Amino acid sequence: MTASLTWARLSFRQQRWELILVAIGVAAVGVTMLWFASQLDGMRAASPDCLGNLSDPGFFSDATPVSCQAILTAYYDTSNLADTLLYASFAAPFGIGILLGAPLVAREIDGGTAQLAWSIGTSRTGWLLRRIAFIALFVVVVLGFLAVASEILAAALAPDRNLGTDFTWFGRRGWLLVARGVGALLLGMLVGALIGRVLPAVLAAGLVVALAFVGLSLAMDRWNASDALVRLFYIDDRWVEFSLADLAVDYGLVTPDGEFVTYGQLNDQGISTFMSENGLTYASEADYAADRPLGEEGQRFIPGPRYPEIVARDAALAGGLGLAALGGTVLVVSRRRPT
Amino acid sequence: MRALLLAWRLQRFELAFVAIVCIGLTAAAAWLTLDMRAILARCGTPDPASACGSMYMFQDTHAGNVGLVQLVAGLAPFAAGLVLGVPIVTREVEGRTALIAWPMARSRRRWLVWRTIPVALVTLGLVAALAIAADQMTRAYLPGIDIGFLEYHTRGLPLVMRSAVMLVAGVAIGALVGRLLPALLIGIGLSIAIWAGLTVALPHWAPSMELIEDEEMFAPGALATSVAYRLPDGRVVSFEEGSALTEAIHEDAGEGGPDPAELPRTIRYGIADARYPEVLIRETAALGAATAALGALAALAVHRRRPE
Repeated sequence: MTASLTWARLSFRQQRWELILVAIGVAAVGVTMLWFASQLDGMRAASPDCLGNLSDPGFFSDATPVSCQAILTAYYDTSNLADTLLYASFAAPFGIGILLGAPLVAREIDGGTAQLAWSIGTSRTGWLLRRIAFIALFVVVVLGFLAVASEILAAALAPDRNLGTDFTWFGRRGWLLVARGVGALLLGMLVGALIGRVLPAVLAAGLVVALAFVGLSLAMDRWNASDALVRLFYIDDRWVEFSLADLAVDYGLVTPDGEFVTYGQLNDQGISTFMSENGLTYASEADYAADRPLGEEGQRFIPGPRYPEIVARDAALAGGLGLAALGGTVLVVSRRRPT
Repeated sequence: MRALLLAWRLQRFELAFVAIVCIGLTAAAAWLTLDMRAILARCGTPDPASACGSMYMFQDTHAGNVGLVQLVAGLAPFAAGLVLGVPIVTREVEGRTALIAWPMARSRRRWLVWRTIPVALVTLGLVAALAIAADQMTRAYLPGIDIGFLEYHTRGLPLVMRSAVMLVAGVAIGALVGRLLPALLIGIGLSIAIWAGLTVALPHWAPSMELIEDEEMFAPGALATSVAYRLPDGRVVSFEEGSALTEAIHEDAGEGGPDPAELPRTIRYGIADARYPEVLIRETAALGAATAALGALAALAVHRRRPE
């Protein structure tokens, strides 16, 4: 226990200013989120006639009282500002992971202290794990706070929806932020161990983390597309209402053979659409005249109730990436020269 | 030349990073410009491109790539300034080489100028090339339009001035804090504040006036600042008041609809695109003054601080 505390204290002292500045930044964003959530809740409670049933599509009909106009404008202005905060919670895990992860090993090598630290310890792996433990815990705690604050803000922005089974603001709220932050931290640490200089490591880690998570996102898109459901926009010439809670994977046409072809695939095949009528899409004027449709407009989607499963899948990929990076760092640290 | 060589040896990785980003963006902007101009040149020939007839002709084909280059070009001056400015003093302090370098120099201020000028020249040169390429790209993307204030923060002289301010601010923060990463973090916070401040300040560099209809309809380069309503009796009321009044008139009129002469008319305020140079000069002067002030602060911090 004492040894753990000593290592925690050492980690804190070595990255004191970064940790303090990150904590201040996250606290500022988190508290602002909570403030906006309370503002939105307060505005709805103060004007139930104007803001009580925003999710009802009939509310914005001609019957909307003129006196509500100013209240609605103020509410939507506040909502829009609050919504931008959720972009901060999307970026925070990557930024924090890079800024705290990249210097972890790089600073020891850059400053020449690795020579001493690695030679007096029993094993370099043990040194690395003790060195990362406190920072990883710190990242989990600060991003955990941000995850909770972002969920509270999201609930205030969409009060009539069950966000536990809803893909709205996917990746910008909840505990996925923590998993992504830990993944970025460990990946940043690997880059730092490879480069061995602080600022170059931070710059390179930014690039590597961006590429890695874009790659993960593309992999997730493919995975989602492989087990998504298909629905048509029109059934019996009538528009089908969508659930806003679902995750839209891609859009395209359902061909007469029942195959789903995305608009991108059609474009790649050099097929352009001539016109659509109640979802039936034609490739040319002649096809339209002959009633020979290319297909029916549709969408591939993942239903809202699968939100927890998809979040867990994304988090597992981020965690897996982080573990692989940790393994890589152990290898690099055990093999590389400390200068 | 010796100072440039020294800067390269001390900040090789950062200089290479900034050069690759800026040259890559400049090349991308130039390529997009040439591509759009080639398509434009085919308009009016027997083999015109399909987009030739439309007003925003490159929206379907080039919008994504142009938007991406503009987004990164808008961020690049901040990143370049910080990445190159912050380590100038912090590296010497953290690595304890300031203990030798500062006593050896004739004066610390001279040392600071000697170290900063070559990095500043490289940064401004790279960002200037990017600024010109991004400006040409925006003009090519919107052919036949006076672009005025459109994409103000992602092209032209504003990019160069932002990189100058951030470079000197990076040096000043580094000199005050003395440690690389904390200074970088503070610099990122300052970048966000400067970016937000300049965005908020833009409509205030020149007085906002009522835009005449032609400007509103056919001059997308004007900088719109607010919307109001003019009542049939000539009085001007706020947007909220005017909207409520319009709705009330529609409600009262019933099925037949209101007499158009009774309805309030929308009026827009802003800065006409012809006043772009005036705004540019004012903002440049303000940023130049800020750069000089930050430079003085950096010199003072280096003069006063302990070299460790």
